[in-house]
Amino acid sequence: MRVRLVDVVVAILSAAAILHCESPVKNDVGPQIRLIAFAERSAQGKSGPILLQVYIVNESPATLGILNDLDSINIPQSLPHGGETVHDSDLTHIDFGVSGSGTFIQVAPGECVKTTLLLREEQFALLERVKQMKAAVKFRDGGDQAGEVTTVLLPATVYKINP
Amino acid sequence: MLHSVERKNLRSRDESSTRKTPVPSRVPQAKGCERQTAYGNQAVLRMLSLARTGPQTKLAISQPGDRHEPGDAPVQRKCGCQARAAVDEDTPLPEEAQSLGPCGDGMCAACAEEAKKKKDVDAKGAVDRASFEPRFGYGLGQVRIHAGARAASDGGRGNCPACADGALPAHDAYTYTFISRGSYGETTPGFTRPTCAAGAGGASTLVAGSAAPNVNVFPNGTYQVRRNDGVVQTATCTRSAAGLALTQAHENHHAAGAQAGVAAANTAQGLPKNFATPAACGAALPAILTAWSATVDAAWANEIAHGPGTSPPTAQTFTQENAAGTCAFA
Repeated sequence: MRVRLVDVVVAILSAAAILHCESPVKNDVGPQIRLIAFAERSAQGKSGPILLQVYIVNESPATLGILNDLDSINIPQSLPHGGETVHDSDLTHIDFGVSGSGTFIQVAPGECVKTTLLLREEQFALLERVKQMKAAVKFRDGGDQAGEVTTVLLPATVYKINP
Repeated sequence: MLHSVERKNLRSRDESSTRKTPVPSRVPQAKGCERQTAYGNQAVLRMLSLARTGPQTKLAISQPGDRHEPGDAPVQRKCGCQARAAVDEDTPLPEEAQSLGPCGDGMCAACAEEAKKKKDVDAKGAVDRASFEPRFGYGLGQVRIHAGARAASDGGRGNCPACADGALPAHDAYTYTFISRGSYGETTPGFTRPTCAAGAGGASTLVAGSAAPNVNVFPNGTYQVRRNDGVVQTATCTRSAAGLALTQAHENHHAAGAQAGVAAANTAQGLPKNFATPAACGAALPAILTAWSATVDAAWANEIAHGPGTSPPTAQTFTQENAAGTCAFA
């Protein structure tokens, strides 16, 4: 079986992020969900799309129904000074709309769903610089398919994948 | 091939000058040419040039259409543009071919590229024709498949009259499955936090915060789609006026939310507020700023999470945009 280098990098970075990231990505109350994002220019180079692959990881002890789609991302306009957190009011809001193809996926503890967005050149450059973003994740508790949908705004570290 | 002919002629001249024997020529020699062996080639040429008589010197290959040498165009085609000439004798030669460099296998680089494209298109075209001719009820044998640089500028319609009026867009031959999409709008709130400013007579004013939102609506939508033959493509579509209006309204809603958040925070903190001295203002600022920021953060967080009271984002409209023929695929 062939293993792509990109997959190996993603796996290593994901593990590193899970092991070393601090608690801000977790909620103190309710289910714990973590976001990890990877920005990647396609193999076609300048002419191809720039992909933002966002992994939504269920780190709670229970299964969650997580929507495998994001309707927006939010990027800070500047890097925070050492130790400072980015205020939500400093985020530029970028709308991607509703794809219509998103569904709530039952995600067991320790597993994740992945969603992919296309970035514009300037958005990629900004993410490459600040290396962080926030996104609103929608989920339902447990296996309840008709339960109330909760939305949480979660931070993510963004890694650029080098070709 | 012209270059090999030229090389052969050059070799003959070299050999002739070494052996000092006249070169046989199909062109009757002019009077001055009899002196060639006595004075040398260059001297004879100079004399001929001064006298404005004698045989016409060989045309540069970059001068097609000379009435004295009407045979040059076919030679050019044969040498530099075999592939192009085979397609259409009347089509003007590409610029690259008009200034022929080293000819390689007898084809300039541009023509070799064009020949390859035509070969690829022909191979694909045969498969497509077998599939689509029965459906269209129309033979496509006379439709020139257009795969050059112009194809990008005319939307791939080539010279098909039925396509030119939008009745039969080329992309209608495929169906697409949506994979992912790009952004269609963004809003930067442009918040300015309250600050202390000097007032009259040594007093200080804690100036109210503000928001100057910047809304950006993108005229194009970008989508990653999978064609029904399995090829993944990036589609860039010109958004419809209706779609743009919905996006504008959505982003304006975010902008209004930012301004409302600031207004609420200023009111809650009683801003602007006057202080007797700058020091007093500075002392009060941290607490006011913390409370002000908490209010504004909450308001903006509600906007960016599309929380209560915010309009849901507009659905992407690849299907509609593609149906309208506004998408370019790469």
